[in-house]
Parts: sequence; structure tokens; C-alpha cells
Amino acid sequence: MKRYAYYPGCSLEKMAQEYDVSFRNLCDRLGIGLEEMKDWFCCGAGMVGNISPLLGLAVPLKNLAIAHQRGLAQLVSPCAACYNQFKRAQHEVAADPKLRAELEEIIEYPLEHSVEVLHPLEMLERELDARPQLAHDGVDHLRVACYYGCLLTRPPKVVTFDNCEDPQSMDRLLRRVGIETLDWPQKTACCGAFYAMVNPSKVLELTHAILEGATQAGANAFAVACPVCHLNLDARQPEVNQTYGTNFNLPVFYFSQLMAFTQGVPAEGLGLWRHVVDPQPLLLGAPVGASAR
Amino acid sequence: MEVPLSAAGKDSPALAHLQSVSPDACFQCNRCTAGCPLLPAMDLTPARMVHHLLLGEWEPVLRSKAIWVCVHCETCTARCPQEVDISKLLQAARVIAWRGGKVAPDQAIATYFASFLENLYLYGRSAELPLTLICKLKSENYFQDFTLGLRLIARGRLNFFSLPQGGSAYRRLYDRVRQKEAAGA
Repeated sequence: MKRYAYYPGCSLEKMAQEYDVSFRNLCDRLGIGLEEMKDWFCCGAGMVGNISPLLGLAVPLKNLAIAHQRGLAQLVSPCAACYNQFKRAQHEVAADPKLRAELEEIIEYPLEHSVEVLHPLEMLERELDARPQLAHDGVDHLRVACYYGCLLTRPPKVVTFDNCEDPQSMDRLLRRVGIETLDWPQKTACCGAFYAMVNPSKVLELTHAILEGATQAGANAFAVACPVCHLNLDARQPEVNQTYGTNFNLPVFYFSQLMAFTQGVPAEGLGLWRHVVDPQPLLLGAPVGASAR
Repeated sequence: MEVPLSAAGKDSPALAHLQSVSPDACFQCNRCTAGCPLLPAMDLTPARMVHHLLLGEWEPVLRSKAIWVCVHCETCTARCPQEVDISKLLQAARVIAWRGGKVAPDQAIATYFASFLENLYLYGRSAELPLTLICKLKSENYFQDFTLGLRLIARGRLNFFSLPQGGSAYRRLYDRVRQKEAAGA
């Protein structure tokens, strides 16, 4: 069986364990081999490069070298920020031989190899391409707004992921497992990310617009692929309601939770209890196989 | 483009590479500004910053709050019809401002970046307890997002009791970079 290097990243190890556990269970169910690199360390998260650009490039490249050393040619990175860091570092060294030589010296590893960095959405589309039929029970009542956010899709020349203004890969995957997804305008709008550290009210404003957009399109849930998007949309939803006098109650799923659910992973394997907006009534409340619409 | 190398002196190829982005192609269409989600919080618009840099005026950009408001969502870079990498220019400005001691007053996010690096040096991975402590102590802002924190703790999302292992590989890298940067200065 083909194996992918698996780089969970700091968020999936801690705050976003539900993304990690549901993705692992999904891969297990689909027979996709993941090999976690036990000695990985932080990718720099876009923070490190703001103080030392050299270190900001060295950390993702050293992590890729660890995967390469293990003989793994492809690395799966579920966190959009880590994914972006890997792609950015590879892009920068490809464009600048002098910089590449300096970084090779620092990470003590040659960079002529290339480990292919994939987001789970890309990896799953490839893996599932050849498979004819996937189970799709018990999700007929979901109307999902797929929210892609920033770092997965931009800048297009660096990440080369899907279409940066109207990405479709998450929609395609969820539709393949029988989930209705919607066209809506804020798919790649920014949620404010870590600006919440400084000015939570500004982030509430951006998050409110995203919640409003999805609601107007008729969504009863979100699907996301980034731990920071999840934090702002899910954990700050009570504050949005408080601030704007709204009563949003939109569960925010990781796409991996929804896919794993349709593929028969039991609810305990999805980490649903960790959400702030309880997704269990919506997901588990409906009788399996029955259409609630 | 004339670029100040500030207190850092002669710098590594990484900073040179960051600074190599040329704003010369900008014709002030303002698409970057129109798409910026954090524009209302900025004291200089992205297009104005690019224009300053085009004229070789780094000072107003380095001293602006706007470079610390940017969360590098990359919308500006993605939409620029002239392929100016605005996001990367602002990153270069943050690095130069940081090294030259020119960070505008009360920029909590700069404090957060520094806390993030200190935490990594200790643990190699992001760890909530030390990161939160270092950041709160530095910023002296203890109660912001307090209820959010409680909500996350109740759902097992903030685990203060397990600390990551394996900072040594990161520390080695960090020390090698510091050596390099010191040698270049």
C-alpha cells in the first residue's frame, strides 16, 4: 500500500484534535496509509518569518527533509497554514539558487529532491478518482456551505490549489458522498485569522458576514479545512450572536468529519463533543438513510 | 528600488529575497485595497504602502500600524493584475521594522510573534500554556477572550497539562540560523 507522510501540525495535535481523529479514521476506512513523522516540529505558522525570514523558510524545509529521509515522496498537511508554509518555502527556493544553497547548509540536507505537499482535499480527490461508488447514507438533510478561507487557496501561483476565487474541490468531495453543497459568495473571504488576538471585535464583524452569507444561501452547516477558520466560526459564534443580536446556530464541521460519517465511522470517532456549536442534533438527529427535506 | 538594510547590516539572502519584490509595476488600480478584509483597521492602505515603496520611502511604511494589522490572507497578492507580491513586501517591512526597533507603539501582534518564537525555542511545537503565559505577561492584557478560553477548556480543546516534546531539532535549526545571520551582519 502506498503511504503518505502525515504532518498533523500543532493545531491538530491540540486544539483541533477532532480534525486529526476524523481524518485518520476516514483514511483508515478508505484504506489510505498515513505515516506520522514522530519527530516533526512547528512549521513556523507564518509567524516566524515575520521576525526571521531565513528561519521562516528553514523550518518547513527541515520538516520536509525529515519526510524525505524516511523515503516518503508525498506529504499530507491538513492545516491550511502549515500547507501554505510548505508550499511557500518550496516556491521561494525554486526561484532562487543562492537562497537554496544557504538553506541547504542550514537544514543540513540537500534540496534537489522534492517532496510533494498535498492538502487532504487534493490527496482524497486523487485517491477516490478511481473508485466507482462511495456510501452516502443519512446526510440528505444537510445543506453545506464549503468555506475554504485564505491560506489553502492563496496566492494561486504559490499554492497551485484549485481556483482561488471559486474553489470546488471540497464541494466535489462532499457531493460524492451524497452531501448537498451550496454556491455562496464568501467561500474564500478572510475570517480575520489571528487578528482576533489583538482586536476580537473586528474578527466578529468578518465572521458575522460569513455566517450571514451562508445563512442567506440556505446553509444549515459549514464545512471547513482549516483550524483557525473553525475556531473563529464555531467558538466565536456565541460572541457574534451577542454582539449582533443574531441567533445563528450553524454547526461547523471539518470536511473530514462529514466524509468519515458517511463512510461509517462511528460518531465517537469524529470528536463532535469538542465543538462549541453542538453539531450532534443536526448530524445524528436524522434517521439514517431517510430524507429530511 | 532603494532598500534600507537598517540595524541588521548586510543581510542574508532570505531578506534580500524578500526585498527583491519590486513594486515598480504598480499603477495604483487599488484592487489590493478594495479586497483587504482588514482595511478599516489600517492607517495606510495597501496601495499607498506600495506607492511609498515605489518612491523608495520606507520610513512611513516601517512606522505604520498597518503592517502589523495585515494577517497575510494573501488576497492582495492573489488579485494584483501586475503581480506585485504585496503580502511579501509587507512581510519584508515587518522584518526590517522589527530589527530596526521601529515597531509602532502598542502593536500587540508583534508581541505575539515574539512570544510564539520563544515558546518554539522551548518546545519545538506550539504549546498553549507557555504561549498564553508568555503572551499575557508581555502584553499585560490578562482578560481578553477569557470566556472563549473557558468555553474551550470545557470542551477539552485547551489542554494545559501536556507539553510537547522535541524542541531540540528546532533549537538546532534556530541556532544555526542565528549564527548565519550574525555572520552576515
